[in-house]
Amino acid sequence: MATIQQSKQDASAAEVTIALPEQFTFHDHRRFRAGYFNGKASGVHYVVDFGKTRFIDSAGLGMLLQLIEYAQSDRQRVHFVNCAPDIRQTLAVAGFEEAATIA
Amino acid sequence: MISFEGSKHKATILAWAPLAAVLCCLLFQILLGGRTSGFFVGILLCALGFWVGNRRSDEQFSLAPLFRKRANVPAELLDIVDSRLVEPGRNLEQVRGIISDAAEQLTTSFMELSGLIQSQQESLRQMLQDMKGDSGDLRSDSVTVRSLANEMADTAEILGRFVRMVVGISKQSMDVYYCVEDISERLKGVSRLVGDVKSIAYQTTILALNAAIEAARAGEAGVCFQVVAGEVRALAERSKLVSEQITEQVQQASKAVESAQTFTERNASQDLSVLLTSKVRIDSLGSGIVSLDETLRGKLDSVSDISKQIAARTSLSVQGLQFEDIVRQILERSQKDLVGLQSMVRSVREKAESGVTSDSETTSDLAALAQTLIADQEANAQHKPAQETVTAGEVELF
Repeated sequence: MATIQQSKQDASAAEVTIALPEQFTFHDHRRFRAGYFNGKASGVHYVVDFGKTRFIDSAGLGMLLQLIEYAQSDRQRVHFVNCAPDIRQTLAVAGFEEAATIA
Repeated sequence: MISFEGSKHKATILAWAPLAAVLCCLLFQILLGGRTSGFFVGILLCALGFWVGNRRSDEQFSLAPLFRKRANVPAELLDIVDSRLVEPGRNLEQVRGIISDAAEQLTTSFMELSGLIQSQQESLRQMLQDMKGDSGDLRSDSVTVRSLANEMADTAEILGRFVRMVVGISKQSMDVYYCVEDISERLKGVSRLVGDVKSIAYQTTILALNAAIEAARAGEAGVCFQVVAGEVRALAERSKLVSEQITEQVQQASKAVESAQTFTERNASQDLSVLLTSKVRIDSLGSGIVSLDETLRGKLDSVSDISKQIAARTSLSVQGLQFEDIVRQILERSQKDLVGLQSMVRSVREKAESGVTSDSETTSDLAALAQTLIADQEANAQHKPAQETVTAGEVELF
């Protein structure tokens, strides 16, 4: 299955969206990183779209933590959106509720 | 109530016998001229009839009319009456005995049953209490709901920390991976630089050769220059060698970095589903145990409730068994009446057998006897027990 990941920035460059594939694993690390890693821009909001995601491995969780670290661990600026119930539970048990805003 | 066997038949005899006796007496009177005995007996039989009639008002016959007649009652009649009174007496006694035994048996069994149920309730209560683990005097290794709840809470916490640790390590794995990748890039850069150095060394060698040639052409004047050119060439050679060594090192380093990248890649991608599911299950088990604790508390309450109800029902039923007391009193009364009747018949017979000499004596005897009978009857009426039914009044428990 082809992994789809796009990263778009809105006009004001204040928000970055990354859409994750159905299986978010180690193999997506380069594209994920490329999605947000472009010099430290403070005040940028990072939105991660879990709409298609059904499985995250430990590397995926590690990568999400790296993103949060990149955003200076500011919970207000990192948004996890469109989470399926299972994914939501996974993120909750792994302790992401204090680290990011989950919707 | 007293009832004779074949009551209709006997009743007929008793109803008509006095009348027959009256006729006999009249006959004797005519023949012998003495009315005393017949008159005496007649009065007694009428009194008897009155008394019995009062006691058994639903019976069809009464001896009351005989008061007015004179009769010579045969002894056999009195014997029959006397003997017919024995049987009811025995029956009453038997009934009293049966009821008394039955009531005693019922009471005993009932109290035993109640005792057994109560001890069962107590065992159940104790068991629930132990399971719950509220009581203070427990051994430290006993498994109770409380100890389970504590264990679950500890386990859940430890598991939670473990999950966070694993996720943290995963992140560190990724960090390491990128570091290693960075190193790899740098090494590649080094290789390129080394390549440049090699090419520089090569060009230097060429240059040195050219210089040597020019120096040779210059002859004597170029001898020193030729030496210098030679040295430069040697240096260039050494440069080349060192470059090669650097290349060798860099290649080794690159291999090591590649291995590191492979290891990191392998470790970074772990399926954590089982671990995360376990944490969720432990959490729900924990809340399940808390609700079990609540359920046990509810059960303890209902066990106490049922015990109270058992006690109340037991006392109600024992009250019911008090019927034996009332029935016994009624039977005793009937027995007493029977005995009175029997003694009355006997005294009538005695009087009949002893024979009376004068009318006045007979009359006064009769009057006295009648008074005794009436007084006796009134006394009996007063001593009737007030309680006729089991539920009518309050009975004390024994």
